[in-house]
Amino acid sequence: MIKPISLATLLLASLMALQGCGGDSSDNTTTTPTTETATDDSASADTGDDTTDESETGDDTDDDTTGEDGTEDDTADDSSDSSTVTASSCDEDSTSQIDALICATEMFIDTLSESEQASVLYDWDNSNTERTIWSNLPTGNVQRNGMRIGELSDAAYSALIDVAQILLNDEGYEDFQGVLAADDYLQEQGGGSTYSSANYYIAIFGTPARDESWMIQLGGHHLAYNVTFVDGVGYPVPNHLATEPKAAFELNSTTYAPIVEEGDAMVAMFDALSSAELSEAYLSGESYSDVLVGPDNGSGNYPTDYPTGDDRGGILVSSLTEAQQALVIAAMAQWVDDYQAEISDPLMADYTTDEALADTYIAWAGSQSAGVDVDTNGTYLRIDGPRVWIELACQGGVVIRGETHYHTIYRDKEMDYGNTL
Amino acid sequence: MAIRCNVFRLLIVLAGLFAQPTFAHPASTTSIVVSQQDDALHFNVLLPIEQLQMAMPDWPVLVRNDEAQLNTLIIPYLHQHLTVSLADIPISINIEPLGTERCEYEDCLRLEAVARLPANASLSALTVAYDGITHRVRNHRTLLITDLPVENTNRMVSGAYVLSWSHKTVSLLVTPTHFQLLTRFFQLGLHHILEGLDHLAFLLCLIWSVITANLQTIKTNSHRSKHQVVTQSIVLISLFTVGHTLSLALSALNMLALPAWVTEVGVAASVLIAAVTLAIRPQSQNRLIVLLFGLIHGMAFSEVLHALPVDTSTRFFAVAGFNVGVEVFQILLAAVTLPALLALTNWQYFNSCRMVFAGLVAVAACIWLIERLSGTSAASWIVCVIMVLTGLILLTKLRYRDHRTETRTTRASLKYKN
Repeated sequence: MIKPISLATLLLASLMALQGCGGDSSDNTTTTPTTETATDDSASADTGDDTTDESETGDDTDDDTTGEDGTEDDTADDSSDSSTVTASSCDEDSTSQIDALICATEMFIDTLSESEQASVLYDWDNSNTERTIWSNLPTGNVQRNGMRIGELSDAAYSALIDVAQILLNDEGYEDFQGVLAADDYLQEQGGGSTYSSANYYIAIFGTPARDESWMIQLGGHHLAYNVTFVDGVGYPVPNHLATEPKAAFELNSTTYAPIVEEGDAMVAMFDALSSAELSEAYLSGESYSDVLVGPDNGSGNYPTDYPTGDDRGGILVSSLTEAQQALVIAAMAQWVDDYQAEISDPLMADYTTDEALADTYIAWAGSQSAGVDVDTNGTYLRIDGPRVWIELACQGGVVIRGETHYHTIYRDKEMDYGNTL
Repeated sequence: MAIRCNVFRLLIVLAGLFAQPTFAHPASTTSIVVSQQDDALHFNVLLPIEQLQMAMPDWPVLVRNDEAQLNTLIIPYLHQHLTVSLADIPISINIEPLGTERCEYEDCLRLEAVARLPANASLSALTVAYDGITHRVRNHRTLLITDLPVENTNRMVSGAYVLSWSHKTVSLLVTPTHFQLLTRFFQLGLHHILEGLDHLAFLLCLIWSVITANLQTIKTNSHRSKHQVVTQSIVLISLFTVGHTLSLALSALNMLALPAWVTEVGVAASVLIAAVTLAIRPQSQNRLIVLLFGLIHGMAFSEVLHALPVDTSTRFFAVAGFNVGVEVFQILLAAVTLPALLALTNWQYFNSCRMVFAGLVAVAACIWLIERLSGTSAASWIVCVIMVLTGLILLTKLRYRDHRTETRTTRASLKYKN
């Protein structure tokens, strides 16, 4: 059965089409949450979930585009050709991780049919608006760029997983798996079919090459990887990670805890402060029901809502002890170090110089009486450096009521989107 | 079409944001739809109650449709956080509650604020400032949706202007009615020529030249010659009007563009030529030259009209209003100065006054010319005054010598006849 909102969205989308408003979104071929297919099995299989498709049978809004027949017919030949070459060969043949990633991305593209490539690949030129389209909301609410991974062939999905494994380090990949699994978990908890590990999207802007500007955009509900490469240097920002539930959960006998370490690291940073320091770090008169510098919603521009000058609240990291500073750096690393070392290491080095730490604040908001308590709705934690910007906001549960869940964002004030907008 | 498309895109986003209880997140946005209805701006405000409660933690728990809370808390709050101003002068707003409604995830208050626009609001950038909820809840966003032109479109997302804790204001260009356009630009035209000494001086030189050129006939046959003077003046002023109307219209349609300094220098030069003509050869006012000067003055007028509306029909009314304003003033000026100057023609100092006036205008024109050419203000005007005064003295002496020669010749002739 189609949800009322889906109907409303479809109706409005139809009106837009009648108005000739195809415009920017014309490249996107999928519009609604869809049925689970054989390819969805492959998506969920990687997260340890092989049962979600049964619960999805009622949601049949795009059966003609995602059925097994359609995807298998298009991609079977391609996949059989490419299955003999794997990402591991990219790893072996490449002299650097970036080259391996380029190789793996090219292999992923090769697994796609012509029509799928048309959905996934975007020209780099004049793509500012598209590149800034991403969201924390489920894909039923905000249409993403590219192709829904639930519609990928087995070979394409496998190639995409290879890309993710090369792009992310082990911890980052665990987070990726965990966020996708959390959506299946939400569906299992009665959240509805919009929550699904199949409902994540992959888009590639530009041509993957060392001397080109290009970007991988992979995301969906509670996830946005926007990794831009400029002349062979990777910038994994803006990066949105969130999860509901925030605590560890079990799905098909596998336990996931995607952002628990991130949350714990942020809390540890504040737990190490004295009461006077904690008070200094408190953002008096400010409340946060979500992260401050969230999705760019297709603005095509850099965000301008960072606090500056006297509005930058919190306590200076350079005023803390070495042990306290180490906790701040460890908290930063929870986001920055989620990627391959060639991407993460230069960024961590830049964010943690003495000069940078002398201009980096940690701050929190929420209930002062409750303290830095992530179980309290409205608790908000932040690292605000000259470049690095990390926020963690605790919101009330949407599906799992009565407990909070995390929304986080990692941005680079100078290098979001590789500074290419 | 673009605005409608953006509104549709926004509606899709809003449908996602507001219409899905199971999917949406608690951090709802405020939406303000701004529309203009004649001389009033209407703000349809949808205020998420939970976010409002978070912004005002000291308030009691907000209850749906509680009239007392609406009157004592919500409406004063909106008055405090929504302001509309024109050139920093606030415009009073009337706020009416429209009820509480479900925004799917949370309850929202719908209110309508109406700002009655003053008459001079047309074509002016109105500043709308709103920091409701964002004054405390820093992540909160307000989506301002309007069909009115918005300055600074950098913060437009899907057809909505995004207001946040650090961007609290938006400038809207209010669309005037055709009548408002006509009256506003009529006033602008009137004021512009009234305050434009160079244009005034040029017109007075024209009128005075016509009278001086017909001075002899005026003295001999007053009624017929005065009629002739009025006709000639109207013809010259009309030619001037045709010239500036033409160039103003071409400039307004972006078909004619000259650098501002060129037109300003042209105006100053035309005034100098008109003054010198008045002093030396008033009978030689050439109609084509007047038409040419009209063209130059019209281009100078167009410099004032940089705030013209974008679309052609409203632009037409603006230019028409401005031109009528200029023309009306010119007619008024002629209506006052012509009878006065005609009455003075028998005065023995009439010619002296003419020379003094022409001299003063020439001095002023020289100052304008040098200022506009050099870009400096007072550096050269003293030199200029001396130069012109010297020129005038020489001219007067020459005319006096001519007069004496003429008198001698007349006397000799009479003597010879006798």
